[in-house]
Amino acid sequence: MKTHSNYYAGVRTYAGNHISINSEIEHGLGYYEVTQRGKCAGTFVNNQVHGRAAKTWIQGETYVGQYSNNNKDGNGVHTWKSGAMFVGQFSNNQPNGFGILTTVHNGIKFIGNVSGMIATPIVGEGEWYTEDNIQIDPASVGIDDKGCTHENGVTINAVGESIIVNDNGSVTTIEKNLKTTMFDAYNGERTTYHYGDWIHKYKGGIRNGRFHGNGHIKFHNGWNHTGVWTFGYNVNHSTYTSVATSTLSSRSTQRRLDRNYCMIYDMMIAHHHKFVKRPPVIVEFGIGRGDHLVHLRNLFSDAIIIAVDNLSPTSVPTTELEAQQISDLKIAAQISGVEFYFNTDCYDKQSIYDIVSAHGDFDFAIHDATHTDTAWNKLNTITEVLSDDYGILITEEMCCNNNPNDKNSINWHQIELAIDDGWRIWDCRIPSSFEYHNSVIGVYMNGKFDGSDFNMYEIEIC
Amino acid sequence: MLITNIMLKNKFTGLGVTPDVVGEYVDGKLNGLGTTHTQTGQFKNDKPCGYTINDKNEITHTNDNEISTKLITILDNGDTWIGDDFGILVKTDGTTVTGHRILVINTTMDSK
Repeated sequence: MKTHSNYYAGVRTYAGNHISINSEIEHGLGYYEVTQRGKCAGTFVNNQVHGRAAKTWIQGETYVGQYSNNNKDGNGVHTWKSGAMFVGQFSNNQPNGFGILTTVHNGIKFIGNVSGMIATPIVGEGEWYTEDNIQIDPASVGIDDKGCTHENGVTINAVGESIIVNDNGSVTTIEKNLKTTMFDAYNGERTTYHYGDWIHKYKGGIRNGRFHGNGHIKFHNGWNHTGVWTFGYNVNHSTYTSVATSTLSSRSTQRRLDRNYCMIYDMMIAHHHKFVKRPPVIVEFGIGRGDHLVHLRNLFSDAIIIAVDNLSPTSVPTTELEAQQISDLKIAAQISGVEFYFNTDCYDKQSIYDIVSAHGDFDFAIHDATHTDTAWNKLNTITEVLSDDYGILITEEMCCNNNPNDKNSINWHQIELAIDDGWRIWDCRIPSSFEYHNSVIGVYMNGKFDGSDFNMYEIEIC
Repeated sequence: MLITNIMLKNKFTGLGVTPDVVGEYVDGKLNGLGTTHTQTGQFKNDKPCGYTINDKNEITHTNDNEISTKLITILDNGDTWIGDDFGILVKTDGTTVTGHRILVINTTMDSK
């Protein structure tokens, strides 16, 4: 089982040129992003940043300059969110040589030879100047020869970090950059004296006792952080829950929130950011009024989104239900950026193959067509055309009938058969009230999808 | 993703890749981090905005009003000037001179 920390660890995604058409070796102009870390645009040679690059880190630091084998090397400028800046010569991935270090201390700057990391600068030959370029003795303005100030027992270094200078001269950073957000601290990536009891108040979505959806944290020290959470972890992308709760609630969206299905879709999105390094092919069977398609369109801006329904906006209804469905389809058909397949049976093999031949294998397939307790057994064709390693098929009301008020909605025999057939099924009924008695969701997956972190009631056969 | 001129005309937004430009696009223009064969850094509406480095390894800062300040300049004789109007000249022989650019560079040139 993958742990949260592994599953949500930074995911590196590269877009750019390669050494040859069929090669995976990053070479030429390129760009990569590592979730929860930062991003980089520049020149690549044999999978390494080499030449020139611009990098930004999520805590607000930026470097633009020369690189050699993934290390800062040559001319460059590094800026901090606090306003501090070093422009000059770099080597071994850090300032090393001549340059100008502009500190957070009223813009007082050092011009000369600097080596080592800025938190612990070894200042060589050089002089100190005010913002107006008047040479000064740094001690006269309370700055020591390393660019630090000392007040009330607190040492603030040149870039605004609170540090402790140890007896042996080494430096421990206890508060990295006072002006950065708490994002890193929230993930426990550094030790601060706030860690452990720093949350004063959280206001936002909670699912299964964990922060989930949009949320806002107020810290004891007055800092604030607004973000998106999935299963208790801060993520830097929108989720189904965050989008669904921040837009006008629609019938189908509210249904997915009420039934906790949103968490499965959030896991699907996390899976996408982790593994699917291309615009995904997403197919929804059963269109309704198209609210779900709008959410998918918002969440996956570069996706090929396909919508399939056995009716069409021009169908002649034979029942009251069909009349409602056709009315809904007329609204859905107005949605842009979606490939519609009307009058198409999702259980028909040839129809599925026709869609695949036009758009490719399915990365995410969502079955929301008419539900019956045995419908899952007719989805074999779809499971066959899921993309290797990544493909996911989700079906709602798995092995249930259509009546949410029926306490015997679940067909447990069909559940057993489905699990035997490779499905994983989660019981999303709310234990306190058992509302929506058919809130059961099934996932059929190829390869790497990890549902372990869902932390809900996955049904096992005893 | 690989993008085309038509996609840019249609106000493509996202991470775009062409043989000559890679970067973050908003409304069909480079907005954010990007790189071309001659410029790498921060862009706004296809123009450098923020910090960029060019193919001579010179570094420039451009503000929102498109006013640019060179922070590192490679002089014709190979020396490196670090700073804007006030900074440090790093000569090819490793020696340095600190001061106002116009004075430092003129003095240095005169002495050669």
